[in-house]
Amino acid sequence: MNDFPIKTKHFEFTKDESAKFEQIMPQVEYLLRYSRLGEFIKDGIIMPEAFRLRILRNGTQEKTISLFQMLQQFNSLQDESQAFLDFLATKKSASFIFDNKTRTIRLLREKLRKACLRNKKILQIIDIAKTDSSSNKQNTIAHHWDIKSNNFDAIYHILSDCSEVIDCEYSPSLTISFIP
Amino acid sequence: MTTLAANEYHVPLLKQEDYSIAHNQSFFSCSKTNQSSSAKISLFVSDEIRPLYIEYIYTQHELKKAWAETYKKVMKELEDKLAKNSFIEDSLSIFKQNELMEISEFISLHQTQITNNDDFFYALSNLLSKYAEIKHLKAERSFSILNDNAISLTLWKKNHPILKNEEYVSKLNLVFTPENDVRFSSSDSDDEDYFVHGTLSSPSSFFANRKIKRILRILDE
Repeated sequence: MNDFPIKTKHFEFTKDESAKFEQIMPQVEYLLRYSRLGEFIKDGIIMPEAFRLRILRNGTQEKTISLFQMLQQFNSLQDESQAFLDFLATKKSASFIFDNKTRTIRLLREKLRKACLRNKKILQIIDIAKTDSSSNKQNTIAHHWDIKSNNFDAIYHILSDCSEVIDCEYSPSLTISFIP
Repeated sequence: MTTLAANEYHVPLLKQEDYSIAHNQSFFSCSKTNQSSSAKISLFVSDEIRPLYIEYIYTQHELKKAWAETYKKVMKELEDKLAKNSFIEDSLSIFKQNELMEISEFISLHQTQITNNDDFFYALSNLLSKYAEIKHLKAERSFSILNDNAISLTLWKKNHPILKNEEYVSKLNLVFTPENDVRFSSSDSDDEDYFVHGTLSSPSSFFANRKIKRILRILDE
């Protein structure tokens, strides 16, 4: 006999839950995050650590768990990854390492939506603080996340499962042209 | 069962034509012509497997006893250095001297993230009390130190299901806190819906800490 689905009550968001999710993950297919092979990505698997606050090169800790949305259109995910990392590299405060181990991971909205449906606790512990676009032009592409976490550690695991690695080696000298 | 039957030290009670493992069901069935075999199978399971299982448990206990000596020695040495400013460097050499290279490498890599030696000492005690079970686990691993000086260990393992062709990865994250709790979460790459998480409030007795095995079994196929 072939496998078949079991009878399960359908998961649904209430109106409030749905509004909260829309707040958490804006209407974009995915958000981007800086990551590294061998540290946060091992054997192609994204570690839960990829979503924890990280220690920057200058020894200080990241203040927020930041994810980014690029507003421009790109020919491919690889180009978008390159442009995203170029953008990060220009930010003085970031002080990340940019070399051939640097990668972009993307958090997929649809996967996160399913995860939130199954685990509505996530909706209660994620807070998003969107950057005010009027005050700083450069930040119009950025969505900053503040994740309250230690009361529900599993959230980092869930976020890593809802993400994919963009298979593109970062090259500091490459310049990506935007599609107008 | 077939592995045991093929082993020269175990004489098969059943011939292979008398039983089959259905490919879409995980149970063992006998041919209609040999109905009495089911009785033989239960005898086979209890008589042949049980001694092996007892032997396995005994070996596990011996390993844990041997580890108890290491645990006591290492924790004593760490405790003696706890009040000193050089605690982290000292702990690196303690782990090296006791040939615990995996732990020493992990501390060496992440030492800048330790903000409270006391908390880290207790998180280490939590991890080391369960290390006999973790040390020989056939899984890839990655350690890190969290904001609250807890130790995070992610284990991942490729599983090859017997009844399916597709290989998948099981991932298990363990967070060892200074309070001796282990927060755990696990997922499989072949099933988006499947997710398990929780907290193990660890026993205070050293030997009872072997109960971590129950969490580690989550990685099995």
